[in-house]
Amino acid sequence: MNKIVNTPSPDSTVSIADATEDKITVLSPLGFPPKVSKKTAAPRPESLDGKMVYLVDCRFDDSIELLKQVQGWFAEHMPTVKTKIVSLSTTYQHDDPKTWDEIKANGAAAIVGVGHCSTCAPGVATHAITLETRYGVPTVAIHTDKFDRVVASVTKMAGLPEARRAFVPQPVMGKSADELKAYVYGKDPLTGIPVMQEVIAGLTTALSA
Amino acid sequence: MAEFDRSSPRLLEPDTEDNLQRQFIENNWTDGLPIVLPTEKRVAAMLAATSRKPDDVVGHMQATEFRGAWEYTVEKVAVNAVMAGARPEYFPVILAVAASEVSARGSTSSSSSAMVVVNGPIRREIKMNSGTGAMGPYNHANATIGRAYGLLSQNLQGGSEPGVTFMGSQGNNYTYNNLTFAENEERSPWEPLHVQKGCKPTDSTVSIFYGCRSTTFCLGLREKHWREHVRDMLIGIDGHSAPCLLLDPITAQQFIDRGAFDTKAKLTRWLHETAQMPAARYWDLQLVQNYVYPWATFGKEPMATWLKAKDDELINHFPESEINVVVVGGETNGYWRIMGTRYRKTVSIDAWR
Repeated sequence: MNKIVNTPSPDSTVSIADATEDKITVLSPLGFPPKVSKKTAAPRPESLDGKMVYLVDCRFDDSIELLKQVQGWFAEHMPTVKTKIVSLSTTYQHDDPKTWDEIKANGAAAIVGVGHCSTCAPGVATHAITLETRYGVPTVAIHTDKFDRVVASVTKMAGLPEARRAFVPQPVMGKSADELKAYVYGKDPLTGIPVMQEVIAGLTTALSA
Repeated sequence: MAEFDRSSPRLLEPDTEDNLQRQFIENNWTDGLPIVLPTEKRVAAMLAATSRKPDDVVGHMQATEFRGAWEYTVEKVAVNAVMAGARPEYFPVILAVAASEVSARGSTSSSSSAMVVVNGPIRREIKMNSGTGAMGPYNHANATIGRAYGLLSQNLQGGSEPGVTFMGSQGNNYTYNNLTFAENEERSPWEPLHVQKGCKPTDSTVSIFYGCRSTTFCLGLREKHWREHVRDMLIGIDGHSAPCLLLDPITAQQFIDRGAFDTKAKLTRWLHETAQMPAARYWDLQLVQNYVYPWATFGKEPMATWLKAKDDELINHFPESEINVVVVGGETNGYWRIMGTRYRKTVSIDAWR
């Protein structure tokens, strides 16, 4: 939603030379937003040891290549955690109950990624919230840093503004395996916290509004 | 069914004209250009041009999937029509555009534009341009209807703010007016677009396209190599999009003279057969990987069949049903172009009179 600016900035260049100083009344041009229903996140496990974590590929621009590096990180740093990469049944633009059912049945947590375009970032955020709130699966979404404000507005409108997420640099598309590994093993460019530290904390620490 | 918050004030705080112009620009309620301030008197005049009630719901719109669509009424559309400088007699056209629920301010990082083709008697009633300069800034109706489409999209869907609700990496100049024009039915050798879409010739309609980015261009059809030239133009259109031929009447007649395409259907059949690409090259297109490949793997046709093709096998990658032809231009010469864009829907204007 646009921020309403009530006081014009003094350095504005807009000027109507012949405009009257009389005050006039005009109508608001804005539409009516949907009402937001607050949602509740899934409870978190204390530990991921011995549990299955699903890595959900949204099928946009090499997302799966980055998730392979996430899988590699688990194998190296948390080998007791089992991981499975699954791709969405179609494109990220569609809900995927079949995949969510599989994750609910067999998984303890999920990581959805990568939100790195104008439509897939909202899609990844929404799918993560679906897993959290309708299937009870603790979920973290991974996006690229260009889309942080997009994701914030989508999670707010979806009723779970505190939905967990971590960010890697843009772009993911076309990057080598080593470059994507550096993204995953590196720090979130927005918070300065190691990406996988944020992911693990997001999956195991209770959310608070 | 979503519920909508109608608690926001209908009127803004009274202020001077200068301050209100600044407020609209600083709130991202405009396209960066000054607007006509939507006073109650001006909005009332706009509303008088339709039989619909101000509170009638026109539709719902969002910048992209998953954002949450906003709702808007006839009065809200009228406010944005005033802002764009439209005259009341254009209002049924603008309401029909709004009723399409296709946003002209989509957030796609690919920076798409909409395209609006107006057909039927309304074109003459409001003096739209379908001839010389129809796709440029030379006609008040074309200019302001197209601008209104952009303004109503950004304001009625909940914004089009770079970094939040607009992520088009490069932006797109087409979106200032959203390629709004009338088809030149009088000089076209074929049936008009809206008749192709199932309407009567006497119906007045808007047809909405979306995804305008790639454009190829040519002058006429040369006798010897016109087929190859058209094929090259088709290959220049991005593979995930669909071709819409925008033909000056001179070139439309040339397609009949050269290829005996006496109907648009014959021409689109030939275009489908002519546009070919080796399978491996097609599947390696990034947008095809993102948006077509997933469907092919789950059996959707014709993509599933294309997926079985050998690497060097030529596939006809533009389905016939997705190719469109529109005649526009003033016959100052036989220039024409192919716009990469997908047809979305045709909406009755008469229903909004």
